[in-house]
Amino acid sequence: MSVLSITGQELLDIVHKDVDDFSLDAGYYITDSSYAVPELTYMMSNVYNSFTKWLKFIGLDRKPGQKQFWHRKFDCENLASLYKSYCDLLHYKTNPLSFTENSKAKKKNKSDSEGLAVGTIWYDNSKAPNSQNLHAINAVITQRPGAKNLSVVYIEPNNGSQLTLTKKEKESIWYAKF
Amino acid sequence: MVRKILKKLFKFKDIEDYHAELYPEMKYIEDLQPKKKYKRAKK
Repeated sequence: MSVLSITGQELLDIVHKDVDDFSLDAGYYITDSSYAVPELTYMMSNVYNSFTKWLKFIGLDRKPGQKQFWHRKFDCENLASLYKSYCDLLHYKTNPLSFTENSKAKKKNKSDSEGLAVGTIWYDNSKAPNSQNLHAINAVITQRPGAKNLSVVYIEPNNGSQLTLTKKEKESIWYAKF
Repeated sequence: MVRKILKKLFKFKDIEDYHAELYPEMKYIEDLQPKKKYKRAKK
């Protein structure tokens, strides 16, 4: 059985379907031609646990309290970008062979997709009217347990939890990069 | 051999051991659709 791969356009369609009324001014950036679809439960458990170990390894210590990985000069958008890069790194390390090597070698890559369907999104999560609280998190295109179709799952990289974005929050997304 | 003894006695770790812990193999959703077989066009 092969790994599920979607094109950049298919990924964009899934994101647009999730955000019913997305802002036309929003920038959605698709930087790879094809994307492998990661398994959700594995992402939420093993990948997140290793991510926290990796943060410690690169010198980002965990603090007590809610904003455990945040620092004044290393906050939400830095952490979300790092989480995406870490997942991309795992995708590369799982599939290190080049096209030519893969066709010749006995051991094959699991996936030949250029990218992994993990992105970063920037949005407004303010609760009070006429206020603004900008935040960055990660979005994963995956298949929820028991679901047939692919959908978007939002993850808070600070604690590894799954987030449910309100309609207003989804509509406030102004930048997304996969 | 010395590395093996060190690993066993002092729980000494090689860089590869750290890598295995820090970079687990990614798991993906499998494509359940059967692969299309290439058929040569009849002349």
